[in-house]
Formats: sequence, C-alpha cells, structure tokens
Amino acid sequence: MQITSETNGDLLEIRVSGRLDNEWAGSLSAAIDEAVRLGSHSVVLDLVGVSYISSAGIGALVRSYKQFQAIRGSFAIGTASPEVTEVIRLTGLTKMLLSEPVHRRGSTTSTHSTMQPSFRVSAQAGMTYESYDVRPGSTLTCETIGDAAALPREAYRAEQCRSIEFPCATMGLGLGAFGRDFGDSANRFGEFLAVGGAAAQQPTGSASKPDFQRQVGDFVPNVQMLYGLKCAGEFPQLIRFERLDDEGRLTLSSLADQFLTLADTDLAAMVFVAESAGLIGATLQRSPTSANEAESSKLSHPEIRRWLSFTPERAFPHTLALVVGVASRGAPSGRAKPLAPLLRPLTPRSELHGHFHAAVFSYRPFKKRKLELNETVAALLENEDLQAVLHLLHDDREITGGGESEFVRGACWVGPIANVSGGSY
Amino acid sequence: MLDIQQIAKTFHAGTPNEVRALRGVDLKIEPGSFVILIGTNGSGKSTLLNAVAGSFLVDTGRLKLNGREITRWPEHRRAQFIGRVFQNPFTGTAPSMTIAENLALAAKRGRTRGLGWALSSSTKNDLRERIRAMGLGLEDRLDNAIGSLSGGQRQSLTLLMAGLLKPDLLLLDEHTAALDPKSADQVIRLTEEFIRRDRLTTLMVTHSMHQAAHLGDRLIMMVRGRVHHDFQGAEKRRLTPENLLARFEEVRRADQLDETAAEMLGRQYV
Repeated sequence: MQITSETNGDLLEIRVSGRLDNEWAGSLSAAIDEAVRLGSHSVVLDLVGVSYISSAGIGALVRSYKQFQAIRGSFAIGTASPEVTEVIRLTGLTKMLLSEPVHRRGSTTSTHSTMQPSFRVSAQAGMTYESYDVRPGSTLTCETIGDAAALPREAYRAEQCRSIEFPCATMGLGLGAFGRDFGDSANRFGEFLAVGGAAAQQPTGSASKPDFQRQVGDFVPNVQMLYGLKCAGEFPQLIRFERLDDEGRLTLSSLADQFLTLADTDLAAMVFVAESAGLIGATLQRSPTSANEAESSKLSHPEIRRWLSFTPERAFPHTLALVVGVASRGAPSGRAKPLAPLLRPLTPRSELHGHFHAAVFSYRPFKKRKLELNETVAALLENEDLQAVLHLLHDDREITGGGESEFVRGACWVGPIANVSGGSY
Repeated sequence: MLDIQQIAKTFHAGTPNEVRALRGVDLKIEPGSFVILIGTNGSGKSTLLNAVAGSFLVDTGRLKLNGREITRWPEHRRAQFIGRVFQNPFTGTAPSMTIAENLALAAKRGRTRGLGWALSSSTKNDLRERIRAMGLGLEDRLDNAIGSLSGGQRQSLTLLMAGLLKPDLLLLDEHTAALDPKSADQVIRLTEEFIRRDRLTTLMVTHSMHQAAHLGDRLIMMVRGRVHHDFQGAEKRRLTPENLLARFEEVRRADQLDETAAEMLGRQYV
C-alpha cells in the first residue's frame, strides 16, 4: 500500500493505493493523525487506487471522521474506486463518508469560520498571528496575595495563608494547595494555576500526581494560597498563533511580547493553550511550611536540590500546555508596583517581565478559529490526563542552559490589566 | 534476618581512582522477605550484594545474619548460609561436570566433601523430581555436561542449586540480564516459585523496571552508595515501572542542579 499526501491551502489531500485492510489501516490512521497534529482541519481522501477495503479499513475511516467532527473540521472521501464505493454503500456509510465534501478546493476558509479576524499579522518570518475582538473594551483587575519574598528563608505559617475562590472570569497563579484550611494543606503547597472555572495544582511531599478542581454547579474551585496573584474580568481579545516553518521560534518571551503589542498595552493578563515544542520550568519539591534545616536560603546550592526540581533540557514536547501568566513591559512600577515581587525578567537584560505557570496535558488537536475560554479549559480537564504543573522560566546559562519554553501553535486570551491592588494578607 | 549496620566501602582509597561505593548503608531484612535492589550504574547495588556475600570486607559497619556476626567472615565461610546466582550463566556451575555432579556439589556446599557417594539414590530421585518440576525437560539429561546447556537452562539450574539447601539468604545479582527475553521470563517464573515455596529471604539486584515493579515485597532504590528510597507494603504494591522511571528522572534532574543552575533558579524562581 502507498500513502501520499498533498497540501492545498487549508485542504490536505491524502491519496491511498493498494489494499486497505487490517495490515494497513493503522498506517492510514497514523498518517491522518499526523495531518491533524500538523494543523489540517480538512482532509479529502482519494481512494481511486484502493482495490479492496476491509472492515478494519472502514473502522479507520469512521474513527478519523469522528475525530474531525470533534474539532469541527471536515473529513470525506473525494473519489473512490468502484470496490470501495460499493462497500461503503453496503455498510450504510455513504452519507457519512462519501457525500460531497463540504470544503472543496479554493473555498476552504469561508464556511467554518464564524468570525473573521479583526487583523492578521505576520510578525516575523515563519510565524503568523490572527487577532479576534471577542469582548471589545474589557479590562481586568489584578490583586496580589501574600509575601513571595519570604520563600527562600522563612517557613510559611497559617496566618499567611488565604482561602481564595477562582470562579469563571478569574485567573490566578502562585503557590497554593487544595484543602480545607492551612493545616490540611500544610504538606502539599506547590505551584498552581487557575482559569476558566478550573484550577490545577502540583502537590509537593509524597503525592506526585497533579490534582485539579473544576467549577460544577455551585462548586467553585478554591485554593489555599500562600502567595500569588488573582485577576478578574473578561478577556477582550483572542489571538491565534502558529509557527509556519522551522525558522519561526515561538518562545515564551516572543509570545508575551507579541501579545502585549497586539493588546496595545504594557501590562496584561494572558492565558494560552498551545502545542508545546518543549517546556523549561521548575517545580517545588517540598512544601515551604518548613524552613531550610541549614540557616541558608532554600534556593542556594546544594540545599536547593531538596527544594526545587527543574528541567535541565526541554521537557513535555508534543503535549498541550495551558499557560497562565502576567506580562509587563518594564519592571512593574507606578500603579503596577504591587506586582513587582512576583514578576521576573523573561530574558536576560530584557525589559519584558512576567510570571507564567503551565499545566501540561497529553496532546490533542483543538478547534479552528474562534474558541471559548471556559469550554476549552473544561475540554482539557475532561480526559483527566493532567501530567504536571510547573513554573516556566528561562534557563539562560551559557552553553549548558536549556533556554526557553517553545510552542508550535495555539490560542491566547489576552487583556490589559487596568488596576492592581494588593500587598496585603 | 539480615542486619546491615552502617556499612561503608571505598575502593582504591587515596588514589585518583578512589570510588566511595558504599557510604553508610543501614538495612534490616526480615526473614522470608523478597527485596529488590535497583539503582543506576555505580549506585552501589551490586557492591552491597558483594559486601553481604563477602567478596571483600567492608571498611566500617557490621553485618549480621540470623544473629551471627559475619562482618569479618571470608566469602567461603558465609557460603554455607548464603546462596548466590550471578549475571553470567557460566559462573556458578562447573561446565565440564554433569548436571548430577554439579547438583551433588551444591548439595554439599559449605560442608566438608569426602570421597563417599555424593548422591544417595533417594536424593537423586528427589532432585530428578525437582528438575522435572522446573519444566525444562532436563530430568532425563542428568548425565550431560552442564556446558552443553543453554544460558537459560544453566541459570535455572544455578538457581535450583543456590536454593537447594534452603540458605538463610539468597542473593541474585542481575541473574536474568544476560538471557534472551523468553529465557529471562522463565528464570523469573522459577525464581518466584522457589522463593515462595521455601520462603527464602532474598536480595535481588535488577536493572529491569518491570521486574522491580512486579516482583518482591520490598524495593530499595540506591543512589550514590546510599539507600535513596525504601518502598514497602502498600507503596511497593502500587508501584509501576513508570513510577520508578519518574523516580530515576528526579534523581537525574537533582544531579544536574549544580551551582550555575542554582544561581539561575535563585534569580528567576518566584
């Protein structure tokens, strides 16, 4: 059997010849999966060269059809040999698989976009950004919580812990835990993020599996927070971004920079769901409710080995990352001053500052064009395959450094932060 | 019971090749427990096994086996209480001697061997039954030279010989690592059978995450000459090969967290 494919704009044509039996059905499925992974949302099959199709082959086609339904793409057989046409007729699948494909060559983009982007930019060679105004004019407010500066030297106590709710239309990140109160969470404080009515946390101590909470009915995610930030409000803008070739490098800092530019602001909250090309980050290993045994800082060598784990090289490639963060052009000052202890330069000597946490899920394709935030987050948690939550950072050491987290494509909700309050317990 | 108290061993001390193979290992192993030892290369797991067997004497610390202090005993004296199977199937048996002769030697291990009949006919019949039970079809080949057997068959026989006298302690040093997957499975099946039947106190070194996760009732993970983690009871039963790999990944990451990384993290981590 032979499988060849040809891209034509948004449409991918896959040509198959030979026998489509159980021996080869897997190969076809793999080719189609790969096409979806690479961003195709419309596939047309040419089965003129297929002399025989077994139930396994039919099964592969139906599975692919459903997969494309799930991402609102289109999948159909364009042309087929008489043998294949007959089998598909007999199995009653004509309507599903053989009907006139919705998207023909040349008219692929018009039917499935419910909204045109307000503008489209090619920021640099090899990358594109499309921006959609979803709630024009909206801004967010931001509140900082707790004392981040105490981490290296102090043991956090009950009176420094706050119970914070994260309903829809809020987002947050920091160090926290799921539990009734401080005592209940004392051994588990670690990185968390919250967005779209959900929260995910990486526990420290004996448990290593990240945990999550989701807003259902009257239940609202609740985090016992040591420190961090919480933003409230709706995001005015949705930005789709994609790397077009290997030259384009979508690093965390380049994305943050571009999102600030597109949102036309110097301080913004941002949430993005993106296919990871490898993440660089760190996670806390032990709950900071105890101090370092030695008098030194928790973050000094060699003590740091017991407190932090980091990724010496890019980790979690080909996964889907849900990234929540705040970025600022220049160190936070003036009205943004309370954010200063929580933000760090995103690259050495750069004016760009930020704080980002990422939750990692197994890869799955996501929908084209306009996405809804709460729905997207809920869909991510549905499969319950949360792999990790980590604090993203830039391993900027010369030679040995792992560099920055990079992404392939994704969608970002971004909004200017109009008001910052905090510094209180 | 095996009681290992704070043993340490440094090879080539005072030379550029100095290796601190064991850096203070404390371990109590209850009678009848089946303990798996894992660790990366150079973590000291095989050294620990050899220290117990007496291949060398430890620098500091004490070793007790069923109340007997064996710290200064030479290897051959410990052999009357300790059975061993090595990684190399060619170790542990005498290739030019027959299966029966090898078994006869094993039956007298640690005792004085005179010139009398090595095996009484009843012992020989008993051995034949045990070999038959292994299901390798060797029961009719008792007079063949061991050298004519495959690696898997030899390792199965070595295992039988090591466990023949129901030793106080059975040491298995990656005893399936040199075998093909099918033979390895077979030897592992026999290992489990023998250990369960005679409730042998066992210490087994392995590189296989699958074996480490699925065998034994306790698992010791060694890192740089120390016990890094001791999985027992429910924690051991819940272990999967993936969990173990994740643990090793943690260790690897900690190793990479040097001063420059600490400086970078100290600057950036909030």
